[in-house]
This record gives sequence, C-alpha cells and structure tokens, in this order.
Amino acid sequence: MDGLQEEKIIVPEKNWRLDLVLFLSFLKIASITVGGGYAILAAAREEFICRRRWLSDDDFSEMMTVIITVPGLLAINSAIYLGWKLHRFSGALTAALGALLPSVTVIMLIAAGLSAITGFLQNPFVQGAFKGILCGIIAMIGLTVIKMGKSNLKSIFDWCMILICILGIAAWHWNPAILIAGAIAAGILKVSLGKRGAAQ
Amino acid sequence: MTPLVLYLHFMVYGFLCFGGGYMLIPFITADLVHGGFLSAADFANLSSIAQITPGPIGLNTATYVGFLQSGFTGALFASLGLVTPAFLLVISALKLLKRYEHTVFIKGFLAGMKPASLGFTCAALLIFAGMSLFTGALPLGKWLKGEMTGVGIRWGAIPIIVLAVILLKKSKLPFPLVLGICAVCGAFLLK
Repeated sequence: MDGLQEEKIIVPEKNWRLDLVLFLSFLKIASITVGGGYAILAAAREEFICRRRWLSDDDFSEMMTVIITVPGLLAINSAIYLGWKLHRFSGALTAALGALLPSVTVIMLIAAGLSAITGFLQNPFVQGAFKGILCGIIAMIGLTVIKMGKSNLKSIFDWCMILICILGIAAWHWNPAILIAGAIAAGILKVSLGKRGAAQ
Repeated sequence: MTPLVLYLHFMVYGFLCFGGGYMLIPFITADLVHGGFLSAADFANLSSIAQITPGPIGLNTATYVGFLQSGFTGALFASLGLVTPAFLLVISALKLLKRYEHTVFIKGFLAGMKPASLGFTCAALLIFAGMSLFTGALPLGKWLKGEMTGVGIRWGAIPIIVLAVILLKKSKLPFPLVLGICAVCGAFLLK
C-alpha cells in the first residue's frame, strides 16, 4: 500500500486558501514540536509529504540540502522553502509567519515575567510530558532518516559522508559551516571526476 | 537598544548561523553576554527554557533578548531581523538550483549535501536521544578515544518510542495526536 501511494503527488490549488493552509500548518507544527529545527523538519515531512502529498520524498531530500546549506534557522528556512515552492512569495511569507508565531508568543510571555509559566514548565509531570514528546520526535526523525537513507545512500562515498558528519557534530563538535563546505567540495570533486571517467 | 539596532544586530546573526541555528546558539548567546546585552543569569535561564518551549530554538533567543532590550517591539524586530536573511538566501538558492540544474556545481552540491544532510539529521537524533532516552548527552568523543564512560538509560522512553513508531507507520492518526499520546505517556513514565 505504501508503494502505491508513494508516487502520487497532489498539486494544491494556488489561491489564498493555500496561504491560509500553509500558515495554519506551520503554526500547528511549530506549536507542538519541542527541540527546534530537526523536529520541525520531521513534522513538516509528516504533514506535507505523508499526509497532504504535496511533495515527493525526492523533493524533501533536495529541500534538506538547501535549507541546511543556507544559513538560518531550519524551521524558518523550511517554511520559506515549502511556501515558495507551493505558492511563491505569499506562500513563503505566510508559512514563515506561522512558524514564527508560537515561539515568539510563548517566549514573550516568559520574558514578561509570567512566573506561572516558568513554574508550569518546571512541574515534573510537564517535564515528563516534554520528554515523551521528544520520544515521539525521535520516532519521527528516525523514520525520516530510514526513508531518506534508502534512496540516498548508494555508494561508499555517501556512507563516508554521513559518518563524518555524524561524528563531526555529535562527537567532535566541529563547526557545521566547515562540514558543509567540505561536503560540497567533495561532491563537486566526485561529480567532475565521474564525468571525466565517463568521457574517457 | 532601539528596535532598529536590534533588527540589524539579529540580521547579522541570521546570515551567520550555518547548519541550522541551534548548533550556533551557544556562540550567539555567548556573544550577546559578552557584549552586555544579556546577563549571565538571563543566559542560564534562557538556555534551559529554550530547550523545552515549542518552536525554533534560535528564535526563542532572539525574542527573549529583544523583549528584555525594548519590550514588545524589540522582541518583534529582533525575531524579524533573524529571519530576514532566510528570505533572501532560501529564495535565491531555489532560483540558482533551478537555473544551473545541469552544471557540475549543482550536481556536485547535491551529491555532497544529500548524504551530509542525512548525517546532520542523525546527529540531531543523537542529541534528542541524549535529552530523553538517555540521562545525558552521549559521550561519543570519549568513546572514540577508548574511554568507557557510561550513560544512564531512561527505560520508560523505550516503549514510548516503539509505540510512536507503530502509530506513525501503521495507524492513520495525525502526528499531533501521536505526539499528544507520547506526552501523556511521558508525563507518567518519564517524570
């Protein structure tokens, strides 16, 4: 069943309703995910690819390359990317506003000194609930990685690249900018060498 | 600081945060503390609340600092400053990608960044695991050096992760509901 539905992409009607749906979807995604960027990314895949089928998994892996390379917050970058892809500027703007609103509101309330909120956040049950949500997010990101890995990890080059990036960030705490620059340079080298090999 | 200065200040950060904001948040906050925009106590407070509040972590920092500096408008201008570069950069990247689709540069970029972006995502997975499944960040660096330091496991997290995987894969439940179920389970199993 999975395989049958996979290829079917639905093209949404391009009108103001699309903007509204983009705004509300990102508002929803940003208000229920804790942990920032990658959590929101997995939630966006769940919403726009698995549920609405507006994009393919191939589009998603291309989106990942762009939004990670370009500086900025992943959540906002992905909102702008998806919004622009689906409905140009108005889509990008409404999606980004939706992603922006929840954290701006909550943090403003905390900064304004609403101690009730800070107390609420420190309640052990609430802390447990947050950890529970993180478990759900681990499941979502894990499924995303497995799905993407199946179609994108084909050669030794790919496996080396993924391993270096995991260790570079999680073990050696390198600056991500260096890893990104290195990955792009290695990719260009690989493609141009492959081309030369094919030509001879 | 006036809202306009805040806007410009955070716009610079927006251009600088590679690899998706939150890896550079410690750097940005340290810079703000150093510049006297944020007290050390506020900084400690901020890092703990940013992790468990919804939304992008980098944005939480911008809103918090903006609000402390000049209230509601400050919070708004700081957040908008942080996201302005993204509009320019993401949209130009999309256009460049389409226009130079068939060049070695774009093909090489995709060949390199597709596995790299998966690597970044796996690294994020490990960070999340360190905040829920394990009692602290995984000491990968130490393990690679051969030091055997252990890390505690929260056993209650395992059934929640398994349940979430089953619900996401096999049921038609929308993901907010799945996360809601995880939250309820977590409140009792992980408190």
